[in-house]
Amino acid sequence: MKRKLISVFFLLITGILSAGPIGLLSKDDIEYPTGKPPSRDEVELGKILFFDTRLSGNKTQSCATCHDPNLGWGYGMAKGLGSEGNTLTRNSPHVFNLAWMTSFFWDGRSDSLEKQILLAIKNPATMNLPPDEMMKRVSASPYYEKQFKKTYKDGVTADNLSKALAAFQRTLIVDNTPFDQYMKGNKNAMSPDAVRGMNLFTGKANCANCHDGGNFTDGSYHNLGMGDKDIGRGKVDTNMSYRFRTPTLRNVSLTAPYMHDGSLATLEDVVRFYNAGGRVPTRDIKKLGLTEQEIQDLVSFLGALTQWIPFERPVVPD
Amino acid sequence: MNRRLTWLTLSAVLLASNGALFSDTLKGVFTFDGKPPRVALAYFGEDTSLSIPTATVDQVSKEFTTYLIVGAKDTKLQFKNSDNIDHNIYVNDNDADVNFDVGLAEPGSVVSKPMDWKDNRVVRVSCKIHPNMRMYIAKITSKYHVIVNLDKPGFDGKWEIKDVPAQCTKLSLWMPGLDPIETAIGPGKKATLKITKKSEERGSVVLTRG
Repeated sequence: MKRKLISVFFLLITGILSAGPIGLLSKDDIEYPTGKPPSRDEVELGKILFFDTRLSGNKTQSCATCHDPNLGWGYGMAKGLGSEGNTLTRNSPHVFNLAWMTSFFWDGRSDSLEKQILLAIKNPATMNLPPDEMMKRVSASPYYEKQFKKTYKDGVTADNLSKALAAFQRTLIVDNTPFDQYMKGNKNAMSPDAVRGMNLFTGKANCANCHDGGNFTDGSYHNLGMGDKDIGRGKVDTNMSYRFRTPTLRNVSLTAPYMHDGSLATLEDVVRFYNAGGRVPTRDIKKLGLTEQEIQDLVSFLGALTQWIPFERPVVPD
Repeated sequence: MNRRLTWLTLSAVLLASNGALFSDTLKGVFTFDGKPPRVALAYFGEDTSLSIPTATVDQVSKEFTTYLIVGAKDTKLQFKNSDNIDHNIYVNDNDADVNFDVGLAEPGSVVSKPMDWKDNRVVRVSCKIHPNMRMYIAKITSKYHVIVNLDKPGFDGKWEIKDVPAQCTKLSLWMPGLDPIETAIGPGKKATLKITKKSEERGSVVLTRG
Protein backbone atom coordinates (compact mmCIF):
# COMPACT_ATOMS: atom_id res chain seq x y z
CA MET A 1 0.00 0.00 0.00
CA LYS A 2 2.82 2.36 0.97
CA ARG A 3 4.64 1.55 -2.26
CA LYS A 4 1.47 2.22 -4.25
CA LEU A 5 1.00 5.59 -2.56
CA ILE A 6 4.58 6.56 -3.30
CA SER A 7 4.15 5.51 -6.95
CA VAL A 8 0.95 7.57 -7.28
CA PHE A 9 2.72 10.52 -5.66
CA PHE A 10 5.59 10.34 -8.14
CA LEU A 11 3.17 9.98 -11.04
CA LEU A 12 1.37 13.14 -9.96
CA ILE A 13 4.61 15.01 -9.55
CA THR A 14 5.80 13.94 -13.01
CA GLY A 15 2.50 15.10 -14.48
CA ILE A 16 2.71 18.45 -12.73
CA LEU A 17 6.37 18.99 -13.53
CA SER A 18 6.05 19.06 -17.31
CA ALA A 19 4.98 22.01 -19.40
CA GLY A 20 3.47 19.91 -22.17
CA PRO A 21 6.32 18.63 -24.33
CA ILE A 22 9.13 20.08 -22.17
CA GLY A 23 9.94 19.30 -18.57
CA LEU A 24 12.48 18.11 -16.05
CA LEU A 25 15.31 15.69 -16.56
CA SER A 26 15.62 12.51 -14.56
CA LYS A 27 18.98 10.93 -13.86
CA ASP A 28 17.10 7.62 -13.68
CA ASP A 29 16.74 7.84 -17.45
CA ILE A 30 20.49 7.85 -18.06
CA GLU A 31 21.52 4.57 -19.65
CA TYR A 32 25.03 3.95 -18.46
CA PRO A 33 26.85 1.30 -20.51
CA THR A 34 27.38 -0.84 -17.40
CA GLY A 35 23.90 -0.14 -16.08
CA LYS A 36 25.14 1.99 -13.21
CA PRO A 37 26.96 5.32 -12.78
CA PRO A 38 30.75 5.26 -13.20
CA SER A 39 33.10 5.19 -10.22
CA ARG A 40 34.81 8.31 -8.94
CA ASP A 41 38.16 6.89 -10.11
CA GLU A 42 36.87 6.41 -13.64
CA VAL A 43 35.46 9.95 -13.79
CA GLU A 44 38.67 11.46 -12.42
CA LEU A 45 40.77 9.54 -14.93
CA GLY A 46 38.51 10.68 -17.76
CA LYS A 47 38.71 14.28 -16.57
CA ILE A 48 42.51 14.30 -16.72
CA LEU A 49 42.54 12.65 -20.14
CA PHE A 50 40.06 15.26 -21.38
CA PHE A 51 42.62 17.99 -20.72
CA ASP A 52 45.66 16.05 -21.95
CA THR A 53 47.28 17.32 -25.15
CA ARG A 54 49.17 14.06 -25.63
CA LEU A 55 45.91 12.82 -27.21
CA SER A 56 46.56 14.88 -30.35
CA GLY A 57 49.16 14.02 -33.00
CA ASN A 58 51.28 17.12 -32.53
CA LYS A 59 50.48 17.39 -28.80
CA THR A 60 48.90 20.83 -29.17
CA GLN A 61 45.26 19.98 -28.55
CA SER A 62 43.24 18.15 -25.99
CA CYS A 63 39.51 17.46 -26.03
CA ALA A 64 39.18 20.59 -23.89
CA THR A 65 40.63 22.72 -26.69
CA CYS A 66 37.48 22.45 -28.77
CA HIS A 67 35.22 21.78 -25.78
CA ASP A 68 36.47 24.54 -23.51
CA PRO A 69 34.81 24.85 -20.10
CA ASN A 70 35.26 28.61 -20.29
CA LEU A 71 33.33 28.75 -23.56
CA GLY A 72 30.34 26.73 -22.45
CA TRP A 73 32.29 23.55 -23.24
CA GLY A 74 32.23 24.63 -26.87
CA TYR A 75 34.77 26.59 -28.93
CA GLY A 76 33.40 30.12 -29.20
CA MET A 77 34.07 30.31 -32.93
CA ALA A 78 31.88 29.53 -35.93
CA LYS A 79 33.95 26.47 -36.85
CA GLY A 80 36.56 24.55 -34.95
CA LEU A 81 40.25 24.27 -35.72
CA GLY A 82 41.93 20.90 -36.07
CA SER A 83 45.22 20.16 -34.37
CA GLU A 84 47.12 20.93 -37.58
CA GLY A 85 45.57 24.41 -37.76
CA ASN A 86 43.02 23.43 -40.39
CA THR A 87 39.50 24.91 -40.19
CA LEU A 88 36.92 22.25 -39.60
CA THR A 89 33.69 22.07 -41.52
CA ARG A 90 31.32 22.39 -38.59
CA ASN A 91 30.77 24.17 -35.30
CA SER A 92 32.11 22.40 -32.19
CA PRO A 93 29.11 21.20 -30.22
CA HIS A 94 29.14 21.59 -26.43
CA VAL A 95 29.28 18.48 -24.28
CA PHE A 96 26.50 19.13 -21.76
CA ASN A 97 23.96 16.42 -21.01
CA LEU A 98 25.50 13.83 -23.32
CA ALA A 99 24.42 11.30 -20.71
CA TRP A 100 20.92 11.36 -22.20
CA MET A 101 21.93 11.33 -25.86
CA THR A 102 21.82 8.27 -28.10
CA SER A 103 23.68 9.58 -31.13
CA PHE A 104 26.75 11.81 -31.51
CA PHE A 105 28.30 14.28 -33.97
CA TRP A 106 26.10 16.67 -35.93
CA ASP A 107 25.28 13.87 -38.37
CA GLY A 108 24.75 11.23 -35.69
CA ARG A 109 27.30 8.90 -37.28
CA SER A 110 28.28 7.52 -33.91
CA ASP A 111 25.75 5.61 -31.83
CA SER A 112 27.79 5.73 -28.67
CA LEU A 113 29.81 8.36 -26.85
CA GLU A 114 32.71 5.90 -26.51
CA LYS A 115 32.86 5.39 -30.28
CA GLN A 116 32.60 9.13 -30.91
CA ILE A 117 35.58 9.77 -28.66
CA LEU A 118 37.86 7.33 -30.46
CA LEU A 119 36.77 8.65 -33.85
CA ALA A 120 37.54 12.25 -32.84
CA ILE A 121 41.00 11.32 -31.57
CA LYS A 122 41.86 9.27 -34.66
CA ASN A 123 40.42 11.64 -37.29
CA PRO A 124 43.24 13.37 -39.20
CA ALA A 125 41.09 16.50 -39.45
CA THR A 126 40.64 16.85 -35.68
CA MET A 127 43.14 15.34 -33.21
CA ASN A 128 45.02 13.25 -35.77
CA LEU A 129 46.39 10.60 -33.39
CA PRO A 130 46.44 7.01 -34.69
CA PRO A 131 45.31 4.39 -32.15
CA ASP A 132 48.71 2.67 -31.85
CA GLU A 133 50.49 5.92 -31.06
CA MET A 134 47.70 6.86 -28.62
CA MET A 135 48.22 3.61 -26.70
CA LYS A 136 51.99 4.02 -26.75
CA ARG A 137 51.81 7.52 -25.28
CA VAL A 138 49.29 6.72 -22.58
CA SER A 139 51.02 3.47 -21.56
CA ALA A 140 54.35 5.31 -21.29
CA SER A 141 52.98 7.42 -18.44
CA PRO A 142 53.50 5.81 -15.02
CA TYR A 143 50.54 7.82 -13.72
CA TYR A 144 48.16 6.51 -16.37
CA GLU A 145 49.55 2.99 -16.09
CA LYS A 146 48.75 3.00 -12.39
CA GLN A 147 45.35 4.71 -12.65
CA PHE A 148 44.14 2.52 -15.49
CA LYS A 149 45.12 -0.63 -13.54
CA LYS A 150 43.28 0.75 -10.50
CA THR A 151 40.14 1.44 -12.52
CA TYR A 152 40.01 -1.37 -15.07
CA LYS A 153 40.93 -5.06 -14.79
CA ASP A 154 42.73 -4.97 -18.13
CA GLY A 155 44.58 -1.69 -17.62
CA VAL A 156 45.42 0.64 -20.49
CA THR A 157 43.34 -0.18 -23.58
CA ALA A 158 41.70 2.03 -26.20
CA ASP A 159 38.28 0.86 -24.98
CA ASN A 160 39.06 1.79 -21.41
CA LEU A 161 40.41 5.16 -22.48
CA SER A 162 37.16 5.92 -24.28
CA LYS A 163 35.13 4.64 -21.31
CA ALA A 164 36.99 6.96 -18.93
CA LEU A 165 36.54 9.99 -21.19
CA ALA A 166 32.86 9.15 -21.65
CA ALA A 167 32.39 8.64 -17.92
CA PHE A 168 33.73 12.13 -17.27
CA GLN A 169 31.64 13.77 -19.97
CA ARG A 170 28.49 12.12 -18.67
CA THR A 171 28.97 14.03 -15.41
CA LEU A 172 28.57 17.39 -17.16
CA ILE A 173 24.91 17.75 -16.31
CA VAL A 174 22.63 20.77 -16.53
CA ASP A 175 19.42 20.03 -14.67
CA ASN A 176 18.93 22.88 -12.22
CA THR A 177 18.30 25.99 -14.32
CA PRO A 178 15.81 28.77 -13.50
CA PHE A 179 13.39 26.84 -15.75
CA ASP A 180 13.81 23.72 -13.62
CA GLN A 181 13.31 25.71 -10.43
CA TYR A 182 10.20 27.31 -11.91
CA MET A 183 8.85 23.88 -12.83
CA LYS A 184 9.47 22.65 -9.30
CA GLY A 185 7.30 25.41 -7.89
CA ASN A 186 9.44 28.55 -7.51
CA LYS A 187 7.29 30.90 -9.56
CA ASN A 188 9.84 33.66 -9.04
CA ALA A 189 12.64 31.71 -10.72
CA MET A 190 11.89 32.98 -14.23
CA SER A 191 11.10 36.54 -15.32
CA PRO A 192 7.67 37.33 -16.80
CA ASP A 193 9.41 37.63 -20.21
CA ALA A 194 10.86 34.14 -19.85
CA VAL A 195 7.49 32.69 -18.80
CA ARG A 196 5.86 34.21 -21.88
CA GLY A 197 8.81 32.87 -23.88
CA MET A 198 8.21 29.39 -22.48
CA ASN A 199 4.60 29.50 -23.65
CA LEU A 200 5.72 30.67 -27.09
CA PHE A 201 8.33 27.90 -27.14
CA THR A 202 5.66 25.23 -26.76
CA GLY A 203 3.05 27.16 -28.75
CA LYS A 204 3.30 29.68 -31.55
CA ALA A 205 7.05 29.37 -32.11
CA ASN A 206 6.90 25.55 -32.53
CA CYS A 207 10.33 25.12 -30.91
CA ALA A 208 9.17 22.10 -28.94
CA ASN A 209 8.45 20.23 -32.16
CA CYS A 210 12.14 19.37 -32.14
CA HIS A 211 13.48 20.72 -28.83
CA ASP A 212 11.24 18.65 -26.60
CA GLY A 213 11.54 16.53 -23.49
CA GLY A 214 13.63 17.18 -20.41
CA ASN A 215 16.77 17.59 -22.49
CA PHE A 216 15.15 19.94 -25.01
CA THR A 217 16.01 17.69 -27.94
CA ASP A 218 14.19 14.94 -29.77
CA GLY A 219 17.57 13.43 -30.71
CA SER A 220 16.36 13.49 -34.29
CA TYR A 221 17.63 15.03 -37.53
CA HIS A 222 16.05 18.01 -39.24
CA ASN A 223 16.66 20.14 -42.29
CA LEU A 224 16.46 23.75 -41.12
CA GLY A 225 16.95 25.40 -44.48
CA MET A 226 20.46 26.70 -43.70
CA GLY A 227 21.23 26.86 -47.41
CA ASP A 228 24.81 25.57 -47.19
CA LYS A 229 26.28 22.58 -49.03
CA ASP A 230 26.87 20.35 -46.02
CA ILE A 231 24.63 17.30 -46.46
CA GLY A 232 24.89 16.38 -42.78
CA ARG A 233 23.15 13.10 -42.01
CA GLY A 234 23.07 12.45 -45.76
CA LYS A 235 26.61 11.07 -45.47
CA VAL A 236 25.25 8.34 -43.17
CA ASP A 237 21.85 7.83 -44.77
CA THR A 238 21.16 9.10 -48.29
CA ASN A 239 17.47 9.61 -47.41
CA MET A 240 18.39 12.21 -44.81
CA SER A 241 20.48 14.77 -46.65
CA TYR A 242 20.85 18.26 -45.19
CA ARG A 243 19.52 17.09 -41.84
CA PHE A 244 21.44 17.67 -38.63
CA ARG A 245 20.95 16.35 -35.13
CA THR A 246 18.88 18.51 -32.78
CA PRO A 247 21.15 19.74 -29.98
CA THR A 248 19.96 20.25 -26.43
CA LEU A 249 19.11 23.85 -25.58
CA ARG A 250 20.25 23.57 -21.98
CA ASN A 251 23.01 26.14 -21.47
CA VAL A 252 22.48 27.37 -25.00
CA SER A 253 23.17 30.95 -23.88
CA LEU A 254 26.79 29.91 -23.19
CA THR A 255 27.52 28.20 -26.49
CA ALA A 256 27.46 30.86 -29.22
CA PRO A 257 27.73 30.85 -32.17
CA TYR A 258 24.95 28.56 -33.30
CA MET A 259 23.88 25.95 -35.87
CA HIS A 260 26.02 23.26 -37.43
CA ASP A 261 27.97 25.88 -39.39
CA GLY A 262 28.21 28.42 -36.58
CA SER A 263 26.65 31.01 -38.87
CA LEU A 264 24.26 32.54 -36.33
CA ALA A 265 26.12 34.64 -33.81
CA THR A 266 23.47 35.29 -31.15
CA LEU A 267 20.28 33.77 -29.81
CA GLU A 268 18.43 36.75 -31.28
CA ASP A 269 19.83 35.78 -34.69
CA VAL A 270 18.62 32.21 -34.17
CA VAL A 271 15.09 33.26 -33.27
CA ARG A 272 14.95 35.69 -36.20
CA PHE A 273 16.22 32.92 -38.48
CA TYR A 274 13.32 30.68 -37.49
CA ASN A 275 10.86 33.57 -37.60
CA ALA A 276 11.84 34.13 -41.21
CA GLY A 277 11.29 30.46 -42.06
CA GLY A 278 14.99 29.66 -42.54
CA ARG A 279 17.22 30.76 -45.44
CA VAL A 280 15.87 28.33 -48.02
CA PRO A 281 12.46 26.62 -48.02
CA THR A 282 12.25 23.34 -46.16
CA ARG A 283 9.38 21.18 -44.96
CA ASP A 284 10.47 21.34 -41.33
CA ILE A 285 10.55 25.13 -40.89
CA LYS A 286 7.76 27.67 -41.49
CA LYS A 287 7.58 31.43 -40.94
CA LEU A 288 6.33 32.19 -37.46
CA GLY A 289 5.00 35.75 -37.54
CA LEU A 290 6.54 36.64 -34.16
CA THR A 291 6.41 40.21 -32.89
CA GLU A 292 9.53 41.96 -31.59
CA GLN A 293 8.35 41.42 -28.02
CA GLU A 294 7.80 37.73 -28.72
CA ILE A 295 11.31 37.43 -30.12
CA GLN A 296 12.69 39.00 -26.97
CA ASP A 297 10.53 36.74 -24.77
CA LEU A 298 11.89 33.65 -26.50
CA VAL A 299 15.47 34.82 -26.06
CA SER A 300 14.70 35.45 -22.41
CA PHE A 301 13.34 31.92 -22.00
CA LEU A 302 16.42 30.42 -23.65
CA GLY A 303 18.48 32.33 -21.11
CA ALA A 304 16.46 30.68 -18.34
CA LEU A 305 17.89 27.33 -19.44
CA THR A 306 21.30 28.35 -18.07
CA GLN A 307 23.17 26.79 -15.18
CA TRP A 308 26.83 27.68 -14.68
CA ILE A 309 28.81 24.58 -13.72
CA PRO A 310 31.83 25.52 -11.56
CA PHE A 311 34.92 23.70 -12.76
CA GLU A 312 38.59 23.49 -11.92
CA ARG A 313 41.03 22.39 -14.58
CA PRO A 314 42.96 19.28 -13.48
CA VAL A 315 46.73 18.97 -13.42
CA VAL A 316 47.78 16.73 -16.27
CA PRO A 317 50.69 14.38 -15.44
CA ASP A 318 53.91 14.49 -17.43
CA MET B 1 -14.09 -55.67 -19.55
CA ASN B 2 -15.66 -52.60 -18.02
CA ARG B 3 -12.49 -51.88 -16.05
CA ARG B 4 -10.40 -52.17 -19.20
CA LEU B 5 -12.79 -49.90 -21.05
CA THR B 6 -12.56 -47.39 -18.23
CA TRP B 7 -8.78 -47.39 -18.31
CA LEU B 8 -8.75 -47.08 -22.09
CA THR B 9 -11.17 -44.17 -21.95
CA LEU B 10 -9.19 -42.43 -19.26
CA SER B 11 -5.94 -42.85 -21.21
CA ALA B 12 -7.53 -41.47 -24.36
CA VAL B 13 -8.83 -38.45 -22.50
CA LEU B 14 -5.40 -37.85 -21.01
CA LEU B 15 -3.69 -38.08 -24.35
CA ALA B 16 -6.24 -35.81 -26.01
CA SER B 17 -5.93 -33.22 -23.29
CA ASN B 18 -2.20 -33.04 -24.00
CA GLY B 19 -1.58 -33.01 -20.32
CA ALA B 20 -3.92 -30.07 -19.75
CA LEU B 21 -5.54 -31.91 -16.91
CA PHE B 22 -2.18 -31.67 -15.16
CA SER B 23 -1.44 -27.99 -15.45
CA ASP B 24 -0.54 -25.39 -12.89
CA THR B 25 0.41 -21.76 -12.49
CA LEU B 26 3.92 -20.41 -12.43
CA LYS B 27 4.18 -17.40 -10.14
CA GLY B 28 7.09 -15.02 -10.12
CA VAL B 29 8.17 -12.04 -8.04
CA PHE B 30 10.81 -9.59 -9.29
CA THR B 31 12.99 -7.50 -7.04
CA PHE B 32 15.50 -5.01 -8.47
CA ASP B 33 18.40 -3.01 -7.08
CA GLY B 34 17.77 0.42 -8.50
CA LYS B 35 15.61 1.19 -11.48
CA PRO B 36 13.92 -1.89 -13.00
CA PRO B 37 13.77 -2.44 -16.77
CA ARG B 38 10.55 -1.34 -18.41
CA VAL B 39 9.41 -4.80 -19.37
CA ALA B 40 10.11 -8.52 -18.99
CA LEU B 41 9.10 -11.51 -21.10
CA ALA B 42 8.74 -14.97 -19.54
CA TYR B 43 7.89 -18.10 -21.54
CA PHE B 44 8.11 -21.89 -21.52
CA GLY B 45 10.04 -22.94 -24.58
CA GLU B 46 8.71 -26.47 -25.12
CA ASP B 47 5.31 -25.42 -26.36
CA THR B 48 5.03 -24.61 -30.07
CA SER B 49 1.36 -23.83 -30.37
CA LEU B 50 1.44 -20.04 -30.31
CA SER B 51 -0.43 -18.44 -33.19
CA ILE B 52 -0.68 -14.69 -33.68
CA PRO B 53 -1.79 -13.78 -37.22
CA THR B 54 -1.06 -10.06 -36.86
CA ALA B 55 1.08 -7.96 -34.53
CA THR B 56 1.29 -4.17 -34.84
CA VAL B 57 4.13 -1.73 -34.26
CA ASP B 58 2.81 1.84 -34.12
CA GLN B 59 4.16 5.30 -33.38
CA VAL B 60 2.59 8.41 -31.90
CA SER B 61 4.27 11.58 -30.59
CA LYS B 62 7.73 10.29 -31.51
CA GLU B 63 7.29 7.19 -29.35
CA PHE B 64 6.39 3.60 -30.05
CA THR B 65 2.96 2.85 -28.64
CA THR B 66 4.06 -0.50 -27.17
CA TYR B 67 7.47 -1.30 -25.76
CA LEU B 68 7.39 -5.04 -26.41
CA ILE B 69 5.20 -7.08 -28.72
CA VAL B 70 5.13 -10.83 -29.21
CA GLY B 71 4.73 -12.69 -32.49
CA ALA B 72 5.00 -16.26 -33.73
CA LYS B 73 6.00 -18.00 -36.97
CA ASP B 74 2.63 -17.23 -38.58
CA THR B 75 2.68 -13.53 -37.61
CA LYS B 76 2.48 -10.77 -40.16
CA LEU B 77 4.03 -7.68 -38.62
CA GLN B 78 2.29 -4.41 -39.41
CA PHE B 79 4.34 -1.24 -39.11
CA LYS B 80 1.83 1.58 -38.74
CA ASN B 81 2.62 5.26 -38.49
CA SER B 82 -0.16 6.99 -36.54
CA ASP B 83 2.10 9.95 -35.88
CA ASN B 84 1.91 13.26 -37.74
CA ILE B 85 5.55 13.04 -38.86
CA ASP B 86 7.66 10.62 -40.90
CA HIS B 87 9.39 7.68 -39.28
CA ASN B 88 11.82 5.08 -40.58
CA ILE B 89 11.71 1.90 -38.55
CA TYR B 90 14.62 -0.47 -38.72
CA VAL B 91 16.21 -3.40 -36.95
CA ASN B 92 19.95 -3.88 -36.89
CA ASP B 93 20.36 -6.44 -34.16
CA ASN B 94 23.62 -8.33 -34.59
CA ASP B 95 23.11 -10.37 -31.44
CA ALA B 96 19.86 -11.77 -32.81
CA ASP B 97 21.20 -11.79 -36.40
CA VAL B 98 18.22 -9.81 -37.65
CA ASN B 99 18.51 -6.81 -39.96
CA PHE B 100 15.79 -5.06 -41.89
CA ASP B 101 14.68 -1.56 -42.82
CA VAL B 102 10.97 -0.78 -43.22
CA GLY B 103 11.81 2.40 -45.17
CA LEU B 104 10.57 5.96 -44.89
CA ALA B 105 6.99 5.87 -43.63
CA GLU B 106 4.72 8.88 -44.01
CA PRO B 107 1.96 9.59 -41.51
CA GLY B 108 -0.91 7.15 -41.96
CA SER B 109 1.13 4.54 -43.78
CA VAL B 110 1.10 0.80 -43.02
CA VAL B 111 3.85 -1.58 -44.13
CA SER B 112 3.62 -5.35 -43.61
CA LYS B 113 6.43 -7.80 -43.10
CA PRO B 114 6.54 -11.47 -42.07
CA MET B 115 8.51 -12.47 -38.99
CA ASP B 116 11.05 -14.37 -41.00
CA TRP B 117 13.74 -14.80 -38.44
CA LYS B 118 14.63 -17.59 -36.01
CA ASP B 119 12.35 -18.50 -33.14
CA ASN B 120 12.98 -17.37 -29.59
CA ARG B 121 14.75 -14.18 -30.58
CA VAL B 122 13.98 -10.71 -29.24
CA VAL B 123 15.06 -7.90 -31.55
CA ARG B 124 15.53 -4.24 -30.83
CA VAL B 125 13.62 -1.83 -33.06
CA SER B 126 14.49 1.81 -33.56
CA CYS B 127 13.82 4.73 -35.88
CA LYS B 128 16.51 6.15 -38.17
CA ILE B 129 15.00 9.63 -37.90
CA HIS B 130 14.41 9.54 -34.13
CA PRO B 131 17.23 7.56 -32.52
CA ASN B 132 15.73 7.97 -29.03
CA MET B 133 12.80 5.74 -30.01
CA ARG B 134 13.11 2.12 -29.02
CA MET B 135 10.95 -0.97 -28.66
CA TYR B 136 11.35 -4.76 -28.94
CA ILE B 137 9.74 -7.55 -30.93
CA ALA B 138 9.88 -11.10 -29.58
CA LYS B 139 9.34 -14.07 -31.87
CA ILE B 140 8.48 -17.07 -29.71
CA THR B 141 6.63 -20.35 -30.13
CA SER B 142 4.94 -20.77 -26.78
CA LYS B 143 1.46 -19.72 -25.81
CA TYR B 144 2.57 -20.12 -22.20
CA HIS B 145 4.14 -16.71 -21.90
CA VAL B 146 3.59 -13.39 -20.19
CA ILE B 147 4.73 -9.82 -20.84
CA VAL B 148 5.36 -8.10 -17.52
CA ASN B 149 5.17 -4.29 -17.59
CA LEU B 150 7.56 -3.37 -14.82
CA ASP B 151 7.11 0.39 -15.13
CA LYS B 152 3.40 0.36 -14.36
CA PRO B 153 2.73 2.69 -11.40
CA GLY B 154 2.34 0.68 -8.24
CA PHE B 155 3.69 -2.54 -9.72
CA ASP B 156 4.57 -4.93 -6.93
CA GLY B 157 6.87 -7.26 -8.87
CA LYS B 158 4.34 -10.12 -9.10
CA TRP B 159 3.40 -11.92 -12.28
CA GLU B 160 2.19 -15.34 -13.37
CA ILE B 161 1.73 -17.74 -16.27
CA LYS B 162 -1.43 -19.81 -15.88
CA ASP B 163 -2.36 -23.30 -17.02
CA VAL B 164 1.20 -24.41 -17.74
CA PRO B 165 1.22 -28.08 -18.72
CA ALA B 166 3.28 -30.35 -16.51
CA GLN B 167 5.62 -31.25 -19.33
CA CYS B 168 6.61 -27.62 -19.87
CA THR B 169 9.53 -26.97 -17.56
CA LYS B 170 12.11 -24.90 -19.50
CA LEU B 171 11.53 -21.28 -18.59
CA SER B 172 13.19 -18.35 -20.36
CA LEU B 173 13.24 -14.84 -18.96
CA TRP B 174 14.22 -11.84 -21.08
CA MET B 175 14.60 -8.23 -19.96
CA PRO B 176 16.11 -5.44 -22.08
CA GLY B 177 19.72 -4.71 -21.25
CA LEU B 178 19.97 -7.55 -18.72
CA ASP B 179 21.49 -11.02 -19.07
CA PRO B 180 18.87 -13.54 -20.29
CA ILE B 181 17.87 -16.29 -17.86
CA GLU B 182 17.08 -19.89 -18.68
CA THR B 183 16.10 -22.35 -16.01
CA ALA B 184 14.20 -25.58 -15.51
CA ILE B 185 11.26 -25.45 -13.11
CA GLY B 186 8.78 -28.28 -12.89
CA PRO B 187 5.44 -28.56 -11.07
CA GLY B 188 5.68 -28.10 -7.32
CA LYS B 189 9.15 -26.57 -7.50
CA LYS B 190 10.53 -23.27 -6.27
CA ALA B 191 13.60 -21.35 -7.34
CA THR B 192 15.30 -18.02 -6.61
CA LEU B 193 17.44 -16.72 -9.44
CA LYS B 194 19.78 -13.75 -9.70
CA ILE B 195 19.14 -11.09 -12.30
CA THR B 196 22.42 -9.79 -13.68
CA LYS B 197 23.83 -7.33 -16.18
CA LYS B 198 27.20 -8.39 -17.59
CA SER B 199 27.40 -10.76 -14.63
CA GLU B 200 26.89 -8.01 -12.06
CA GLU B 201 23.89 -8.54 -9.82
CA ARG B 202 20.91 -6.27 -10.46
CA GLY B 203 18.12 -8.07 -8.64
CA SER B 204 16.41 -11.40 -8.24
CA VAL B 205 13.31 -13.35 -9.23
CA VAL B 206 11.52 -15.88 -7.03
CA LEU B 207 9.66 -18.58 -8.96
CA THR B 208 6.99 -20.90 -7.58
CA ARG B 209 5.02 -23.53 -9.44
CA GLY B 210 1.92 -24.65 -7.64
